[in-house]
Amino acid sequence: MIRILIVEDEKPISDMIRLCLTKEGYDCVCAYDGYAAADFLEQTSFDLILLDVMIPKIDGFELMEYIRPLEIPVIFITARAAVSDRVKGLRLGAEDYIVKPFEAIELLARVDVVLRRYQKTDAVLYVGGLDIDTRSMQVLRNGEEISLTKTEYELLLLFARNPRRALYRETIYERVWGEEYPFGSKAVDIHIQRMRKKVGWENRLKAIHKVGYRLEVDP
Amino acid sequence: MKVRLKITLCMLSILSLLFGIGGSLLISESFRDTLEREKDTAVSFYRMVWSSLKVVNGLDPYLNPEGITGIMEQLLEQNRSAWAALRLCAGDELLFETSNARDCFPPDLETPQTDRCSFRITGGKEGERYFILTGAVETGEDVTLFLYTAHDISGIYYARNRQQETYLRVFGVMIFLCAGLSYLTSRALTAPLGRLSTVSRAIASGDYSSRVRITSNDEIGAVSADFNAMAEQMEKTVLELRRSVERQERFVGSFAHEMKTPMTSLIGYAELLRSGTLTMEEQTEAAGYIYSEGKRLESLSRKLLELLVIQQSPLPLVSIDPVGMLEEFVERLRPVYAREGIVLSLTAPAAGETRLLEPDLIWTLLLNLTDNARKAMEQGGSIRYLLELPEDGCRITVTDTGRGIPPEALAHLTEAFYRVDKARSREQGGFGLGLALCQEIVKFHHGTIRFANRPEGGADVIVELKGGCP
Repeated sequence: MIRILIVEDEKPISDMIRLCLTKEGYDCVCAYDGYAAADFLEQTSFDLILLDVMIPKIDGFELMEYIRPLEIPVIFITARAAVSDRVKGLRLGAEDYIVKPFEAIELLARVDVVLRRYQKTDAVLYVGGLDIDTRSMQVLRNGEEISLTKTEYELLLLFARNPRRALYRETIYERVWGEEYPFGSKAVDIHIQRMRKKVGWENRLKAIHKVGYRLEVDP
Repeated sequence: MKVRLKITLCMLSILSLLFGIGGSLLISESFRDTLEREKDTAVSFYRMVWSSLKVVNGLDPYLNPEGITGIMEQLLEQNRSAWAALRLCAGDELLFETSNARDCFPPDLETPQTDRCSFRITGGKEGERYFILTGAVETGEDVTLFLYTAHDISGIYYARNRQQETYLRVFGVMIFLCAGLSYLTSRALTAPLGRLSTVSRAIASGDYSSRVRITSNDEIGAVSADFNAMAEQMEKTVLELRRSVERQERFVGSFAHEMKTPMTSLIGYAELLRSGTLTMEEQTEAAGYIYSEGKRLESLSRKLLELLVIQQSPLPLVSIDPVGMLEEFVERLRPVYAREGIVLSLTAPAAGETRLLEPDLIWTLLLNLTDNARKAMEQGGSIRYLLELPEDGCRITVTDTGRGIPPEALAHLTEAFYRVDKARSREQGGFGLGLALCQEIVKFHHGTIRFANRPEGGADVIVELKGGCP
């Protein structure tokens, strides 16, 4: 199981991140200040660290110096969106950063990307009768390759990574298209209908009235 | 062209003009004087010749030519150096002539008119110069005698030329000395300007602490002093601006942080709730966080609004009795604080005096200070209020028996969002705005707020208000 250390002094946020990640099957440990984080790092090993910059006692940048020799990937969490702060974090060896306020789904996506970069998660997903190889970007059904466009593949991956989760249209649009959702856009529905027909998910990928879609999978 | 070069050239041209004019005037004047004297001498010798001739034989050449020649020779013998040459003619006939007459008298010498003397200066073969005096006298026998005398004045010309040469040499040396001296002088004079310029450039390139060293009491020294004063003021202003920008940046940064923290929780939990993956328990927890973080945002906005209102709106001061007000404050809070083991006590003068204050703001100020004192004490203690009433306002000292203020925090206490201990403040639901608010309230009353640690533990907060007397 993948272990993640959450270093965040704001308890509500820390709890929220823990809740999100636990739902996805990650094992989480919360540290509320720099010393506690250092203690945890000494005791056990972690696969990923989520690190708030402004934490009491030792600040995030200083803690980074301590983490670097351990070669554990770090994602910065910062309230300051200033470029200088972000650059400083990345220079110090962070893999990525998230600016507050963020959505849970964005956090999950970034965590997933970093873990895959470090090859800590499986490159192949088995969801709803499909084999999705995220490295070769191939989708197989019973050993047979299904040809998808890039947008359809991204959509498929989003649902495959968030099974049983209700995904809102605007969330889907923002994650796949990378832009703000244009009000009343039908792009999401059109692409999803085509994609689920291609992969044979007509009964699994269900529309939720006034919300969006949800992928039903066998437990 | 540099100023020192300009000054040098000016000095040189003035000097050469004045000395040139003065020198030539002097030389030519002395030359003219000498010439005049020579002329007088020549005239007196000329007269002497005539009178000698008259005395001997009434000027008749045909009567006594030998006599005339004898007289002339005698005269020459007596005054050997008076003439360079002599010639005496009667009409066209030459009566007497010295040996060198042909060298001295030019061949084109005109015949003088009767009873007239004429002067002329002629040049000789080898640069000699002669002063020639000619005259004619009519004798009784219708014979006109012509007398030609020549005086050697080469010496005068020679002296003049010598003078001019010497003068030119002296002049050259003078010009040279003057150039050197005026260059040195002007350099000494303009050196402070160079220093001024160096310092100006240093300041322009950002070194605001650079200053000119003042060495003189003159106008340039005054300019340097003014310049230094200007630089001083500028440095102060720049520093103040920089500080104010830093303060503002800190404020904006802290504000963003304070806003974004609850926002992150609100958005995150709301998203988790609506995705429908939470258990009943988790849903309750999420809703609880949404509620509490929403409350936090609301409290933050209220505090900020309070701060803005004091800064922007002119509230009227009213005449109140500070003693009565403080007594009421302590009475109201005493039971609440007693439950936490904190004893409140008040020392104040007799009631009856009034001061101009804004009662709501003072109440807020007291609440904030008391609340801070409470937070500084872990388990019980005492808070003492001391009220003094000077002529023009009032002084309130709030003393607690808490943990005191870390020295490095003293300077930042009244900054918005500054918290001495972030973690503890967060637990107690603070934003670091309390003392910023107090500062604004005190400013509104034209007063000051000071913080000091007590040696035996605890801290003093001294508020001086200058509302004035009604």
